[in-house]
Amino acid sequence: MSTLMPVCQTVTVVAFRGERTRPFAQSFSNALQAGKNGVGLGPSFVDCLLFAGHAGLSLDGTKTIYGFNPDGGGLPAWQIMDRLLNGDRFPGIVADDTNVFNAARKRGIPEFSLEVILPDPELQKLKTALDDERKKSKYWYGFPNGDGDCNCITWVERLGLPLLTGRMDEFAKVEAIRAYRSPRFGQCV
Amino acid sequence: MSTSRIRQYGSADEEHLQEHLGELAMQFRGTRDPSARRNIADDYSRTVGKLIKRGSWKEMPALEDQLPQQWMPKQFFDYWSRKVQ
Repeated sequence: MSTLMPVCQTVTVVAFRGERTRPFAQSFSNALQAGKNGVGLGPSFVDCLLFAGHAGLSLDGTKTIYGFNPDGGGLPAWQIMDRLLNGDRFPGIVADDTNVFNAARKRGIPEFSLEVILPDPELQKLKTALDDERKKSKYWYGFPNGDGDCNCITWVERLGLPLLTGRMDEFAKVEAIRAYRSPRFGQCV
Repeated sequence: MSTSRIRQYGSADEEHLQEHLGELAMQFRGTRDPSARRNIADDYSRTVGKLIKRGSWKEMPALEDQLPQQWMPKQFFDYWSRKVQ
């Protein structure tokens, strides 16, 4: 039996819980209604993510963070959100969302991260899966219990990283993530 | 009972009500039956009413814990568009 331990690398899962205190929630809600009533453009997609929260993954220590989003095909963001709330699904699209996380940092929205340490064969599988997803995702975006396959959190699971929940509030509250930020999977050096 | 203990219970109750909104939103997305959706929206509206009545609702529910705009109770938008000094 070989006693050699495989070399491991770290994948970082980064997330922030949405900003939902009154001032931002109020302006976001007003923008949503303005969009719906045709008296404004509605919120931008980045504003939707700042309100909803977002999760992504990075292979380079959070310099670049990839996230899973709905491809609304040119629909305004408020309409995409409303249809997701209705249980509809949209084709998923994987984007470099570093700007979204930077915008959240700029607003002082707390970010949390989880380092998943993988042996090299699993990491290569993950890299291949991520490359394929960046070209064209095979998953549909949807909110929990809607028609889609996954949202930004559970998409990370679809790539093979073990997480716990698709609800941002639950995910943000998982104490173990704060207490132990580097769980190991497999035998690692 | 001490004031802090009352506050603790109060906050747990508020958290429970907020959790309930999330459960209802998931139930809503899980059905296309209009009458089932109406019942869920009624329950959602009652729960929003309870949260507003408490007077300490500080954070809007997560996006995935809301219903589509046309199903949201009017009091929700009234409450969240109110300016607080």
